[in-house]
Amino acid sequence: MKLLMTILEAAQFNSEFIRGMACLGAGIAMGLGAIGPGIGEGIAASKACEGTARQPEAAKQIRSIMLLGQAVSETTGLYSLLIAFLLMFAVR
Amino acid sequence: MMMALSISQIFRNISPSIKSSIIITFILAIILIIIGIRLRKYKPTDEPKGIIIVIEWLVETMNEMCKSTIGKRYKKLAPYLTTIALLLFVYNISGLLGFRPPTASVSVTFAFSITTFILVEVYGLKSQGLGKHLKSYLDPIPLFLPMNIISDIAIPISLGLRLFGNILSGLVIMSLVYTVLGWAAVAISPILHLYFDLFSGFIQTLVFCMLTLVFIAGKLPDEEVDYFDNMEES
Repeated sequence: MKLLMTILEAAQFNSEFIRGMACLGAGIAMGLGAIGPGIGEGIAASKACEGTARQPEAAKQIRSIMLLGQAVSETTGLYSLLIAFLLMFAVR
Repeated sequence: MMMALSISQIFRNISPSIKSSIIITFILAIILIIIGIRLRKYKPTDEPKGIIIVIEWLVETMNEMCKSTIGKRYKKLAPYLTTIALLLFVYNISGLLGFRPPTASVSVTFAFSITTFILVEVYGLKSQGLGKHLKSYLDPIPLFLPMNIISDIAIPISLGLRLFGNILSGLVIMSLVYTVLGWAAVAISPILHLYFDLFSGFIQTLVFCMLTLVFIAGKLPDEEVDYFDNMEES
């Protein structure tokens, strides 16, 4: 009987618990998801720097290729952003 | 029953992104029709001036871009890609004009990306024939069939979500700044608009077009898409 009461009591906090955990999850998703694209884009930019220093006449092409690659690798970060949005606004 | 739904009621029920997409598309269509009428009067021997120079540059650039990526089949693709690029660019920068960007809605971006997906499959069918196209799913060994199918289905999903996420994140950050700072947002909002609307919108348009080209080039037979040969020809 006491166990049942405890479970019922816990159930009352359930929606708030879920909401809090969803917000926590959104923060973790965004924080961890931003690591990968950040490192990746940094590597791309540093390699583009090296390439431009070695061959300044190809700077224009290197810049456009770098921006394209960065925009593509940014997608994984955007996926985690979408997951964070889903957790924030879709989970109630 | 259907008669009870007046046009204003229908217009009230649709989401703001779709609403602004309808308005922007109509304005763009009217502008393009006017430009088209002016282009018809213009003879090839005349000296180009005004908007005609811009249009010539745009067509030339898109032709070059298609030619350098997919080779000799560029002629049918370049008009489509120019249309998509113009529409996407105007959609992306429409935040500057006070609209809610239509590409911040998942339905608009998926309309674009599913069109691209159909185009990619059609190019694969047309260039290789049905048998070879189906056989390419069993490449290199039949065990790879599920992976090939997944990599094809990932095309529209990744294209649509990339565009949607980029524009939506810009929109969210802009509205956060406007909400938090109130009237003082005037101080920093121009720079943010410059980055999130103009720069990000342009880059995303470029990425969408380049990825469309790359996916189509992946479906074409290898001898057609020799990058260095195409660069020398053009």
